[in-house]
Amino acid sequence: MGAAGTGERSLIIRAVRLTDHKVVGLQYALTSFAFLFVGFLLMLLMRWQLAWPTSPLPSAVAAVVGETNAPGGYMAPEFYNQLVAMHGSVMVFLAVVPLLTGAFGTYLVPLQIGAARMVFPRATAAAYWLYLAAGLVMLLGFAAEGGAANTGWTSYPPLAVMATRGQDFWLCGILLLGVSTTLAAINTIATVVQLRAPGLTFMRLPFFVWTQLVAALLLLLAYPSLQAAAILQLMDRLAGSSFFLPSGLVVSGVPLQGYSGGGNPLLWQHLFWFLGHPEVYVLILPAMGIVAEIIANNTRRALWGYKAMVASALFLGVMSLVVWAHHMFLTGMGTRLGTFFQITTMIVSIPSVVIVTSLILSLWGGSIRFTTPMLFALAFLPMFGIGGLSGLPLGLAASDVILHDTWYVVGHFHFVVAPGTLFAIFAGLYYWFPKVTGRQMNHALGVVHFWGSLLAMTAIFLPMFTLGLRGVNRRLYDAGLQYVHAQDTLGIQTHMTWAAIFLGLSQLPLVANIILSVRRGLVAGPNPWGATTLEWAASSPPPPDNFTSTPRVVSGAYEYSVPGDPTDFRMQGELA
Amino acid sequence: MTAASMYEPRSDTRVTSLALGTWLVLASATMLFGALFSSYVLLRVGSATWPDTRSMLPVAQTATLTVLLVVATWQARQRPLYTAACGIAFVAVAILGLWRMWTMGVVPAAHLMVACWYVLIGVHATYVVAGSVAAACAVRARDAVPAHQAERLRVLRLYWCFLDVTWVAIVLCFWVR
Repeated sequence: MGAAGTGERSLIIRAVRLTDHKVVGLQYALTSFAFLFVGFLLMLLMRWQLAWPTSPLPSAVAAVVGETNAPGGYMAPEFYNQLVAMHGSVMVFLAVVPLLTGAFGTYLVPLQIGAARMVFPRATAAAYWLYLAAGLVMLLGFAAEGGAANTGWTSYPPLAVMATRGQDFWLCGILLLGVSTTLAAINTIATVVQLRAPGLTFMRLPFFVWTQLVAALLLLLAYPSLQAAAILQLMDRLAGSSFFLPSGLVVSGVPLQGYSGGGNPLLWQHLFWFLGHPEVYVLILPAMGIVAEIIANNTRRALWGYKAMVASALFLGVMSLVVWAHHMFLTGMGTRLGTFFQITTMIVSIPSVVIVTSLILSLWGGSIRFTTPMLFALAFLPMFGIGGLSGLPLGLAASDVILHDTWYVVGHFHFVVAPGTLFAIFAGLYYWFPKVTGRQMNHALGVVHFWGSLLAMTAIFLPMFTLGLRGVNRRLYDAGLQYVHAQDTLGIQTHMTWAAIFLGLSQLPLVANIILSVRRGLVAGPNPWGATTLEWAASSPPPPDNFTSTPRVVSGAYEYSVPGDPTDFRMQGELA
Repeated sequence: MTAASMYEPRSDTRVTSLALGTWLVLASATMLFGALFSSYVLLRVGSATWPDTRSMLPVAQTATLTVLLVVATWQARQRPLYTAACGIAFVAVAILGLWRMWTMGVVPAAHLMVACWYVLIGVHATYVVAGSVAAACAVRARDAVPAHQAERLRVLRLYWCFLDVTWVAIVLCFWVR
């Protein structure tokens, strides 16, 4: 074969590799970690402003931010609003959810079910590129006239309809992300249903796969609601319609002219939260899945109540679609409707508690190995517990009326998403790093990373409950400087900002660990943790088709410490 | 995955991957149109005035669009090329209708009802374009294994049936006073 032939072949190989779920999973991982970093930087800017609202930004930062956003070095309120909106949007839509479903899901699901690839490989790649485009479009808003989207990650109209051009970028990003998410969700569901290895029945699936399946179903059914909302808001902004603009609207004391009116701003809230709330379960379910894998492996015993956990995940998925309006108690929805959503909200907490309780009970009687992933997995349990339980008062209208839009809400969902979900992501990173790279990560650096992150996150988020309970509102540009009741809380904001800076420094051991371990880490071998699920039957890193032959599954996912076995684990399947 | 598992049913689930994927696309599309129809109902019920919507649907144009859709669906299993052609013709006629409305000053800013029409027609037409592309791809693959081609065309018709049902729902929305 001549040079042309070789070139042709290498081109084909490259094209095949681009649709390989492992390559796409890594693309997702790198991109979403980059977005996580961007979201973190936006947060640091916000935190600086909250800690020192009357002081200018550091000169280097002010130079980067620009004179428009920081006139004379002082952060403009409009820029602060952009930071609030884009921090939330980036973290939820571009960082945490893509990390869990795109990176972990795309990389691991085919491996855990014994498949060679995703069922629609080209859709796998298309979903990634659309996601990247969506993220870049959203961030391009910063270059638009008036800056990026600035009406919060919830983009409530009528404000959002009248916002600056950056809102159009945000909406276009949401639409692109919707197509990406739908493709990815369809791919995940079809892959799990159609490509399971022989013998791998549904009740033998690792819990992680179940959580990915439910998350994909939720995204498939809930995201179209946000897409519809985004289309309608784009129409309002670009074509002059009034889907979300009521008649007789007065802006800054002046009646709004030149629009038909008759729209309903609450319609947006319903459509938004129909996705917005299930999105929480989209990120927490896979996080629970990661933690479940790690706890089973590091206690050397089967998960306690596997069937109850699966049933709970499914029930959680169904119930999460009928709780959305608990974000809207203050809209005057009436007691009857409010009661319905309060009841469903209380019910949806039950399966979450079942899963977490099962994970805690799985520790009982196990011979626990305190590996780095296990440290993060163990910390996930109380951290998510705080986040979840602190949400209950927000699900009851009587207490939500007091706490709504205060720092308490920010503390609640950050405990779910940051030390909750992010700790699961870190746990998964340390756990599957040897599978992806073929090398182990350094435990000592991992421990430093763990304790630094745990202390910093607690120091950042715990005081938020105090601020909220003292009635300090969120989204205040000056942290409450103008309010008498907030005066003695301003010092807490300073402590929280120092903790946020410490959190950033605490990630340095992780970065060093990754760089050092990729090059010089101990060679891992196919199954360094003595795990049972199928991905550990493949070599590390797995070859292009994952397995040298089709695995045949002979048992459940967590056959640890089986009496009579010479080792304390039994692989779920064997290669033919 | 080999081509066989894409077009041949798995023994335990008894469904092909192509069919399952299409059903999932339709589930997502149902939720999208469900959100739009729900919005339409909410806005219409909450609106003080709602013009006679039947004027939105000139009989000749509506009949033409309906016939094109029905023919596209009917031909999906035998002549996907016709399906693709009818789909493109449908989109062309729909755009022409919207353009005529626009030039007459019947724009989304005029009334919520008009805006709803633009959105529903626009989203539906987007799905018709996707169906036409799928039909065109099915034409290209005619020399494939006959059983695989039959499955591809069966799934294609399923998709077009969904477009028909959605179209009927849209017409009913604007026809019922």
